[in-house]
Amino acid sequence: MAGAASLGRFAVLAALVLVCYAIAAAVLGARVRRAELVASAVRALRGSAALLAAAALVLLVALATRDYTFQYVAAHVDDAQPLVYDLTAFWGGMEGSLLLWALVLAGYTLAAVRAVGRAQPELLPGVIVVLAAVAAFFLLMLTAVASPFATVPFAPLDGRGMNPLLLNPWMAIHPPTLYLGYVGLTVPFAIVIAALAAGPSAADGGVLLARRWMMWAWYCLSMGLWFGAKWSYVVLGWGGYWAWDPVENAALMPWLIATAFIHSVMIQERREMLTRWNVMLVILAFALSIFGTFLTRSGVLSSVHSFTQSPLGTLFLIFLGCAVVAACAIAAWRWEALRSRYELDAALSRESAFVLNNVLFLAIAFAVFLGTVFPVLSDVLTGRRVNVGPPFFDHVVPPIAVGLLVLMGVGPLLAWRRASAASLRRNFLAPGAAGTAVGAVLLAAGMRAPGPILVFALAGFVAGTIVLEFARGVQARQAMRGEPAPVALVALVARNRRRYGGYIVHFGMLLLLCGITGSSVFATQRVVTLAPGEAAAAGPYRVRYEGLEQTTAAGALTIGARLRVFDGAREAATLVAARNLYLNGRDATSSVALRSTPRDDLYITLVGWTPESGSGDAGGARVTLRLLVNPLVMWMWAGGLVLSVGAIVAMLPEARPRTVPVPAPAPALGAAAAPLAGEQAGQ
Amino acid sequence: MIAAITVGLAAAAAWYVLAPLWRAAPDEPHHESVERARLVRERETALRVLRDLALDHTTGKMSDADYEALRARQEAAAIEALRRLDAVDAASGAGAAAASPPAVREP
Repeated sequence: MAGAASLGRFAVLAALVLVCYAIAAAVLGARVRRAELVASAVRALRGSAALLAAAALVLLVALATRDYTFQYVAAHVDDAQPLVYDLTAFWGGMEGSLLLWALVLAGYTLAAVRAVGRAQPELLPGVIVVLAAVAAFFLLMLTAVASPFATVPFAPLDGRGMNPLLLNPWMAIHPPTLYLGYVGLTVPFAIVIAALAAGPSAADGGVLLARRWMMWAWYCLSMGLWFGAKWSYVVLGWGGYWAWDPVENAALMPWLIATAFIHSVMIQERREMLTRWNVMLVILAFALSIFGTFLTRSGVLSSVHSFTQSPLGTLFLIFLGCAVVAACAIAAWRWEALRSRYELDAALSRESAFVLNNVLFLAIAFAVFLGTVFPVLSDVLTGRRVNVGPPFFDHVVPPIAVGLLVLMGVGPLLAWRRASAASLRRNFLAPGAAGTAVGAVLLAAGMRAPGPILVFALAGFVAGTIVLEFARGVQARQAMRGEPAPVALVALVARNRRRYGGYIVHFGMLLLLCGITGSSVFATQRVVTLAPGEAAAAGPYRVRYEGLEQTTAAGALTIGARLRVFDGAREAATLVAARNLYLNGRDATSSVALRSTPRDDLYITLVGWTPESGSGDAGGARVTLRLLVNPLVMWMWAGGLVLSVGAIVAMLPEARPRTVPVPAPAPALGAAAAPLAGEQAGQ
Repeated sequence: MIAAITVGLAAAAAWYVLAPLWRAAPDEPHHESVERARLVRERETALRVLRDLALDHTTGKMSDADYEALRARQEAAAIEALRRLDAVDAASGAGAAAASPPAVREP
């Protein structure tokens, strides 16, 4: 319906006008110190958010009703597509995904304006300007370059539908979660830039205020990456979950920088150090989020995830350049004011571990960046496009990741300022023994690959440090309050959510790393051709092919191989590995036959089939199967869940500290010092 | 119909956005309230860091000397924030309830 499309176009255009007005009103309000102008700017942002919600509703209705007069609907929906995927087509194409981006940013903007207005009102005009400027860019794209509301005079009878690979529940939630992370990085960026603009005294508080927003963005990026890995594993049929694809890398890079920031900001809180470093990390994380959007939309690098080539890429690059130059200029302007008040006291201290941790995160991010853009760089410099591919990443990233694993165990046990030999002995004895025991058990069990032994032993060491941390905290509470251990454990976590939530996240990362190591190093695969009744071995499994079956549904013909799986002598599962052939000419897809256990995954794909000569019976066809045994993959998915729980614990607002441990205040301090007197807080 | 909705939406948006400009000016974030928010934040941060330090010390990760030095610094920051909060509240004569320090439990 052309009227609805007009309404959508108008809503986006009006939203653009409002965010531009918000920029002008906020700048003017800050300059002439007129609060009503800033209040008007806030209202303009609310109006813009409402208009974008209306635009999104128009598109959703068009998708749900399969209104093929919308070019976007015709390109991403067809009559055979289930309704739920008609709706997820909202972010299945470039134009819709840009609208989603703008909508998410509008939601974040309202939340950020509310939070900043309460916590640090002097930053409000700056935050409005930055967020509205970013929104203006996206709305300009939606208005002038990639409108989801473009229409055709004559609607086609049917649409083209989405790529069948996207018709999956994991893909329904992966993009919006990732967008929540990507777009979420705009808020800490806006807060930090606003703090730098507001003055030297605001910068420190601004960085600390940005921490919570960064944590949320990091969480969403983590979950988005996890969902994407799961989709890749169960849908694409290649047996892996991470391919070092440019668009995957584009999401990993800001995640790495955000992780570095979450660690280094702790030093700023504790020791009033690294403010400059943290400012640059926030800017870098935002820049990489825009860079990722550029990669996805420019077509400059080939990727299974990217949209088609479009002029948007150049515009994104210009926007990215402007944003980085402006942010760096304002940081340079305040550089002296950001100087740390203190310096590292000793090389062996918690602070040093955090600094090293940051260096390693940045080293991985740089390696990933270099490997990702290398084809473009080589093209520009030599005229030949050279793809470094997964081998480059597989050689460079794991050693640095092992360094991070070491620090994950060492860091929490080191003392702030300086670690003494006695405290090192006391703190590392038990975890070190745990790590050594794991290594010894693996050697005794016959494992000889040094890399995995090192990783699993280190994982044992880190797990030991985490258990030790919890145990000591519980013991301290029990000693102070005589609580039973379960009560003490719950109270300990509840009173120190950031710290113990962080340890839970570390434990989740351990599971992830063990899963990645096991499935990367010990995976086995073979390709076999079987006639009905024949069987083939794969690792500890025996797979017997029973026959071929054929079904049709929703515009697709599905050819499936019925398989019986035996684990030793025991029948473990009956599976079907299938290929889906689409009547509309789309590329065929695989339906994976998957059996997951904590020990390993049996992952089977149907490569092809050959009818028995002289037989018209499809059930008697020979099939070619790819049999993979991927050890420990389930640990990786479990690690993602544990990480999610830890992140939620760490993000929950902490109770205001009621009391803190200090000696009786000096009489001269009077009432002001009273809150500092009391029992051991957190104990 | 769509044109009428469009015009109506535009008018409503303009009215909503511009209304603050011809109403009585809302309270600007005065210097006192900005300063107060900053001090509250500093106080909260200092108290949380003190609590973390106490936990580190109790669990044996920090020597007595380092604990004393770091604690003294954070205490000084917290006390300074509280002292200035008192001064801001005394000057403004308002917000005493919101400004109230964390409740104290006697040891």
